[in-house]
Amino acid sequence: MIPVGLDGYRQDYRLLSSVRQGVAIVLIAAVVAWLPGVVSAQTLEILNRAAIAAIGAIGLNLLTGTCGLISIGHAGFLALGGMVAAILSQFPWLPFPAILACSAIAGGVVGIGVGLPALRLRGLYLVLSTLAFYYLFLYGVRVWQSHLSSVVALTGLSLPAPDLGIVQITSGRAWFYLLGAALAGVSLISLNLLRSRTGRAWLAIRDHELVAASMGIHAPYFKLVAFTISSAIAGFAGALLAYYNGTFSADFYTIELSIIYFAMIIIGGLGSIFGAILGALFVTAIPPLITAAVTTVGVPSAWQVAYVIPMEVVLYGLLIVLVLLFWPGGLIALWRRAHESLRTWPLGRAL
Amino acid sequence: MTTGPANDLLVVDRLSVAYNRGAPALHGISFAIPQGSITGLIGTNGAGKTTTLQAIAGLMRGDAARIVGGGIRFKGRDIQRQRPHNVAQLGIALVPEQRKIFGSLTVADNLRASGTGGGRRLVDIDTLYGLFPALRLRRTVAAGHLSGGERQILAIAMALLGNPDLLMIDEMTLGLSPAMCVQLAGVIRDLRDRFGLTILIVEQNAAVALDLVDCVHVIEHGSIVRSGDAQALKADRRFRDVYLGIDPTDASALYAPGSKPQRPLSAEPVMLSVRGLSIRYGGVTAVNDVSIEVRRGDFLGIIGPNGAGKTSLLNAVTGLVPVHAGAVVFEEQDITRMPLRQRVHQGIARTYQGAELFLSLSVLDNLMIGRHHRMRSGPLSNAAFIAGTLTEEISHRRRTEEVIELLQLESVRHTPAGMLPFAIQKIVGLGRALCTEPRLLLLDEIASGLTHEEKLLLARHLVRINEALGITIMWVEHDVRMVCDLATRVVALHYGRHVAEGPPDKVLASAAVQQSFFGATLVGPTSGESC
Repeated sequence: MIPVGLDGYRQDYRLLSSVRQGVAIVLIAAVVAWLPGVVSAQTLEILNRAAIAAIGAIGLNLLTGTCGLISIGHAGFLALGGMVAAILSQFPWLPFPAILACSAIAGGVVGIGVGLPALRLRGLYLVLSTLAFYYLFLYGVRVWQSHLSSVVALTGLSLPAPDLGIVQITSGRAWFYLLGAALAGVSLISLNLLRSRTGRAWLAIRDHELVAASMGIHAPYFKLVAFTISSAIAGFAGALLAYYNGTFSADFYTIELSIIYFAMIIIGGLGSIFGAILGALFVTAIPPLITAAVTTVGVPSAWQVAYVIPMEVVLYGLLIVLVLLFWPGGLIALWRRAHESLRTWPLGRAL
Repeated sequence: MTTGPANDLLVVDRLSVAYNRGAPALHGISFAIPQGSITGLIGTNGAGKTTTLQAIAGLMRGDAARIVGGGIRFKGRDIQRQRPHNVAQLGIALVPEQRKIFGSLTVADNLRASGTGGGRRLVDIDTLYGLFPALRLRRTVAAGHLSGGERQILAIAMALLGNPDLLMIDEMTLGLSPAMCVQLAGVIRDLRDRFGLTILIVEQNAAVALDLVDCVHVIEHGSIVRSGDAQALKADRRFRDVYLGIDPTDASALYAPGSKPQRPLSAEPVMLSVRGLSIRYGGVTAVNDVSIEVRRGDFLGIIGPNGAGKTSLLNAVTGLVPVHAGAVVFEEQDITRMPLRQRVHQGIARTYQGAELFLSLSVLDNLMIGRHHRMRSGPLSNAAFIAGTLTEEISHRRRTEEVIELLQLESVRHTPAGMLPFAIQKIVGLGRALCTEPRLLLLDEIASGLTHEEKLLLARHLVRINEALGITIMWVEHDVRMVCDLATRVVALHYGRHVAEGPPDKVLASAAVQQSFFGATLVGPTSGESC
C-alpha cells in the first residue's frame, strides 16, 4: 500500500478497494457464468429479460434518481432503439455492434430534443412534456409501420438473430452471456459518471438547483447531458430488446412499459445502480411468478386472460406505494441494512 | 424516576436514541421538567440536544434514528411510542431549528393557519401581535420574504397558537439581534408568568439561557454531565470556560489574542463597490440606497437588527435576487446583472444563513462540488474514467482535503450533510465556499448556534482565512462582540438603510446603532455579548 501523502487518494478511486472485494467479484462472476447451466429455460428467460430491463432502468435512474428529472417517455426511447435496430438489421453487411451503437446514438440525439423542455419545465410539467413525446413518437411509428406492408402492420418487423462474427446468439445461454456483458458495461459507465464531476453536478442539481448554480454548475447543460445519456442507454436497451424478441412492433411499447420502468427504479432504490438492477430483477420476475402461482391454484385460463394479466400494472402501482410507505430506500436500502447488520454481527444490535 | 413528583409535567427517564449511520446518540439521559418552569438544555454541537427535543416530539420513529431505551412521560402518561401529531395534540409544541413556515402565505395567514380550531386558547392572534410588534408590522408580507430572525419569531408565534402546555424551542435566539433576544427572553418569561406555560429551550448562548431559565442541563456526547440552577452553573469553572468564556465584562481582544493588526487598508484597491443599491420584494423595501466599498484584504462586519437587509445585501452581491436600483461593481467590472453561475468564476463565494448544503450528499461530495468550476473533465471522459478524469479527481480531492483539515472536518468527511447538526452544516458551508478558492468570501451568520468554545475555534479559522489565505471577507453576524474583535471595519444597517460605518468601536458607540441594535436603552458594547 502506498502512503496516502504520496499516493494522493488514488486508492479511494479504485473500483475494488481490497483483496476480499476482488475475490468476491470473481466468485460472483463464476456463479453467474455457471448459472445458465443449471437453471431451467424459463428461469433463464426471466434472467435475460431482467438484464435488458436492468440496462433500461439504469438509464432512467441516471435521469430520475440522480438528476431528479422525471420522465414518463422511457418506453418511447426503447421503441426508438428497437426501431433503429429493426431497420438496420435489414442490411446484412452491418455488424451487430454497429447497429447497437446506432440505436444508442439515435436515442441520445432524440434525447437532446426531448430534454430541451426540461430546461424550463419542472415536476409535473416535465412529466407531461415527456408524455407528449411518447405519444407523438409512438403515433409516428404506428403510421410508419402500417405503411410498410399489411403483414408488418400486424405482426411487426422481424429481426434476425444477432451475429457476432464468431458466434450466432441464438440460445438462451448465449443471450445470457451477451446481456451480462452489456449490463456490466452500462453499469461501469454509469458508476464512472456518478463518481466524478458529472455525477456530482447531477446530484447537486437534484438536491438544490439554485446553490448548484452558485457553485458554477451549468444546470441546463448538465440536465441535457442527463437526458442524452439516459436516452442513449434506453435506445441501446431497446435495440437489445427488439433483437431478443426477434420482432419490433409499436404495440409492444405501451405507456405501461414506461410505468413499469418507473416501478423498477423506485422499488430498487432511486439513484443507485445496483438498486436499479435489483428492481429490474424483482419487477421482471413478478408476472411469471404470478402465472405460476395461478396455474398451481388452478384458475381457468379464460379468467387468467380476463383478470389476472390486467392486474399486473395494478400490482406495480401497489408495490410502488408499499415501497414508498415502508422501505423508502427501496430494495437497495434493505440490502445495505442487511449487509450492515451482517458486518457488525453480533455487536450490531447493541451498538 | 418513573414515579416523579406530581408537579412534573414531563419526565425523561433513561432515554437512549440510536442513529443508524453513526451520528450522535443519547445514552440514557434523565431529567424532569416541573410544571410552570423554564428549563434549558445547553451543549456543544452534536451533543444530542436537538435529538432530545425530537425524541420528545415523537420524531424518532423513522429509519434514520429510533428510541432504543428508556421512556418519556408527559402528564403522567407514556408518550415515547406516540406519533408526532398525537404528541402535539397532547400539548407539546416544538419550534424546530430550521423554522418551518408557509413561505407563500402572508404572516397573518400563517398565524391563521396555525393552532387548533376551537376551545381554550392560550393566546390569540392580537395578543401575539402585542407580544411581537415586528409581526404586526409585517403581517401582510409573504412569510418567505421575512428575514431569518423574523421567521424565527413567526415560528414561535405559530407554535403558541397550537395551545401547548409545553413549548420546546430549538436554538431559541439563533439569528436574533441583541435587542430581539432581550425582547424574546421577556416574552418567554411573560408566557410562563402570565399563562403558566412550561418551556424547554435549547440555547447555545449560555449567557442568555442562564438569565432566563430556572434549571439547566448540560448535554455532552449524548449524556447529561451537569444539572442545576443558573447560579450553580455560573460558578462552575469548566462550564464557564466552554460556554461563557472569560468574564463577559472583559471584552478586550478575545478572539484574536494579541492586538488586532490595524493594517492601513486605504492604500489597497477597492475590490467590491456597492453603489446606491435598492432591493424590493413584494411590498417590502429590503435594501434602500445602500453604498458600501470593500477593499482588498478587508474584513468587513455587517451588523443590524433583524430585517435590516443584511442577507439581502449579500444576495445582491451573489446574484440571488434581482437588483431594483443601483449597481454592484466587483474588481472594476459591473456584475449587477451577471448570472449567478458566473460569479463564482469571478471569485465570489458565500455561506448561507440556512447552510443550504446538498443534504443527501456526503461532506466530501459537498466540498468537491465547490471545486466544480475549476475542473474541466466532461461527461465523456467521466464515463470512461480515463486517466485525465482520475488525475483531475485526485488533484482536486487533495485541495478539498486541505479545507477539511483547516476546518477540522475529518471525522464527518463521509457523513451525509443532512445528518449533521445545523451549526456544523454551516461550517461545511464555509468549507464549500473555501473550496471554490474565492477572492471575496461572504459569510451569513456563520457563528450563530455555536458555543463559546466553538466560536473561538471559528474565529481562529476566520482570521487565518483573512490573513494567511488573503481572502477578503464580508461578514453578517449578530454576535457584536465577535464582530468587533475580528472585523477591521463595521457597517451598520437599519431597515434597509446604511446608518453607520467605520472602526468597530466607533460604529458601536454611535447613537444610531445603540438605538437600532440594542433598543432604546443605552447598553455598552460589552453587553452585546449577552446576545
